[in-house]
Amino acid sequence: MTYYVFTLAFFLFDYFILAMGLNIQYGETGILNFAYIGFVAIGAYFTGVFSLHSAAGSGQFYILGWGLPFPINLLLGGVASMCFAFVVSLITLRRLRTDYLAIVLISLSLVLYDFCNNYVGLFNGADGLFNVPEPFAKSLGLNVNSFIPFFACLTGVVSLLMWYVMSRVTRSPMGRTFRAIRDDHVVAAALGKDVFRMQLKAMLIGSFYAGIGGGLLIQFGGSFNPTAWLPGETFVVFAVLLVGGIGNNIGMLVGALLVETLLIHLPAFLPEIPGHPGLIEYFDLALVGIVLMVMLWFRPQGAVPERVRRTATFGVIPRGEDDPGPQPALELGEAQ
Amino acid sequence: LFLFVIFAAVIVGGVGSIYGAMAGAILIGLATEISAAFINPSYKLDIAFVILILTLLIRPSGLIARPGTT
Repeated sequence: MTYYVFTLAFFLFDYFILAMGLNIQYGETGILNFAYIGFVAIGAYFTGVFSLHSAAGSGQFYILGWGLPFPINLLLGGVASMCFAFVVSLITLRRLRTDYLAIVLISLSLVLYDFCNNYVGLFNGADGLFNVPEPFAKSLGLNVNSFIPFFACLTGVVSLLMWYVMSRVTRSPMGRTFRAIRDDHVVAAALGKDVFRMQLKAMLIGSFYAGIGGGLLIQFGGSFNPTAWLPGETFVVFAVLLVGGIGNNIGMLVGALLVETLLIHLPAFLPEIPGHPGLIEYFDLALVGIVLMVMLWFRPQGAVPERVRRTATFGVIPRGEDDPGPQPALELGEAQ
Repeated sequence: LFLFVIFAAVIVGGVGSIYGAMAGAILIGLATEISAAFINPSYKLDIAFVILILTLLIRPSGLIARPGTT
């Protein structure tokens, strides 16, 4: 029983981190990043190959294999994801926007998926990495049963830490600039903000969160293969984002609880319907789609709507009762 | 997955132009199939995506642009 509860708690906290990373990209800055699961996979693979020892004799083929201890390999996985995001951003963000950016990013994630799936020398191809060392398992003497509660709590601590950092980022002047770019990038550019640089920063922060979330995934399961990050998985993270409510970080926790925990992972632990083995598991993605449509129909702002931020209105004189006068450019309305 | 290959054909040809879509479809189709002779056939759909990405970066209006859009 505790095994189930802590597995669910792990996925809740992990998707909280992933959704916060997507939130800073899409919810705050408006970059429609459909390659998000690719950044998660890069983080997971690099965390794996940094913590595994040399590939010779293990029956797997992968690069590096440095055998680093736990927090360092996780951070380096996040940094690897950031480097990948930097290259991708330099190629795409400067020239493309909205729909075309989304098409290029989803194409990139498909190319990356095919490459990692077929090129065995990089990350062991379609078999994926396995036997990744469990963090602190030797030093604390954890066995299979005590590792899962320990790691779920560790993930919870990490996610709280990252939530604190992210809430500081979104309240900072940089976060205000992100939201100004989301609302109207022409206005932000007219006010002297370098839109490309700010979008690049948002991509880097978001992909670091993606890399950390992916690294925690591979450390929890001990293995990672390409079926875990089919490009369609991006839309599960998007569902977490939209159900929770874009543009605020607490909504991500609610969205992760509703979508990821209740719809994706809880059904795997439910008893089977007699005569229809596996029926419940096959319905989880369909359920996510239905919940997403219902949510967008009845409550498009998400479970926790974005807070309407008040800004000072220096020098704006109200013109009368009917006309509220010119609105300051950085004041935000409700989320779309 | 196959939807995006068709997407690639349309965008490479030029959105909104019928002859462009024909030209793009011929280009993408031939490129994916002929590439299998030279590289691993597992990557043949990726050729279509690479062409798509290059098109959007170098000539975003497509091969045959609709009049008045360039």
